[in-house]
Amino acid sequence: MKETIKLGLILFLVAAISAGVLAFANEVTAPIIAEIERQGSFGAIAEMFPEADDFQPLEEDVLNEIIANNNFVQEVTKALKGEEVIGYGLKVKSVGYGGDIISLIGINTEGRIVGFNVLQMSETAGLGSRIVDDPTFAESFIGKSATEKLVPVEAPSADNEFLALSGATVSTTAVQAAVNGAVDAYVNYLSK
Amino acid sequence: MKISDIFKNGIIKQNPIFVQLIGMCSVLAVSSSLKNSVTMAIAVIGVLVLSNIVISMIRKVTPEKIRIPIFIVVIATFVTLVEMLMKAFMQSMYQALGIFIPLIVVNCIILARAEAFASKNGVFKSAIDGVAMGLGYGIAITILGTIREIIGSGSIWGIQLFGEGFKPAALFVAPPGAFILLGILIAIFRTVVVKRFSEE
Repeated sequence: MKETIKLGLILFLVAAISAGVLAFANEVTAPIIAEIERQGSFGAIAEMFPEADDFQPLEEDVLNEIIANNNFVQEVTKALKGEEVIGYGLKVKSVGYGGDIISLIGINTEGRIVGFNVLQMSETAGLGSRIVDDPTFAESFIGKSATEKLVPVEAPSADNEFLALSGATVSTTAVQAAVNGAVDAYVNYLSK
Repeated sequence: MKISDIFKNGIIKQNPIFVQLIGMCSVLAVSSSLKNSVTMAIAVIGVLVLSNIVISMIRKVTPEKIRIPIFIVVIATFVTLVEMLMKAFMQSMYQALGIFIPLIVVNCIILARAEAFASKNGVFKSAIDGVAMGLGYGIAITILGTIREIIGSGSIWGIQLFGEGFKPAALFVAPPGAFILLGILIAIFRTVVVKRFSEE
């Protein structure tokens, strides 16, 4: 009995030291990490709208309405040129083969997709990871219409087609769901 | 035990992957490309050396009965620490390695070395053992990653090797290909390399 308490106390002490070290490291790194992540998502939107000079989060009431009716959209950022809104960056989440895929989709106010960028994913290297590694995949979205549902095909040409990655059906379908979620939010809320 | 023996042990006689068959889950998951393999190897060597040093330092005050939970706390602390520091100060490296870092905690090589070596030997030798075992792991995963990437993706370090006509065998970047190839490599390593060294 006495020994059990002693061992428990030693283990508690070790865990407490470990927690202390980690709490200190977290205190130091957390603000830096948050800043890097904020810049990271802004950086991706800025690349999609090179002519924009400011970015602002979408009004909260509109965003909440979108989130309530849309399973994919998480955040919306407005791209502004002066006072005028020239487009939207939509952060969308869908479930791929290896977990959540978080991507950013840029749609301009003319109803065209101007960019597709995967922010976070853990798909199989060499297969599903081509949604990031294969530049032709992201390119196949650019200029496509954001007013109708997109479908994946082997050789995209029409206004509503993007590149299907052979051997990575689950990842392709996950991206399709995410992009169509963004298109849906644009058509029903943002374009009005 | 001489230092050269520690190295010979870690890389050949007791190679963690080819001979001891420990730490296999991370090897199978990560070795789909050369770049992933090398970054994972570096991370494993780092954590292995650090955890071996600390565990060797506290070996005399660690009660026998609860040594395993204490080792796990030490290892998990280092892994979390490395992850946080990399995320904050080495963004590009973190993006390449990020999802693999937590895998190191469950890598049983680290726990095995804590139990079999660091808890019984001095700090310096434990650090050397960490380097040697880490190298053994690194060499194995690098060989596996190179072959899988060439056959499975037709590239090396992300650079395409063959023309448009080459259809890579995607089986080799998928988990079944990793099992098949690992089996073949273990057979070769055991018959050719280990035998030669044990005859000496």
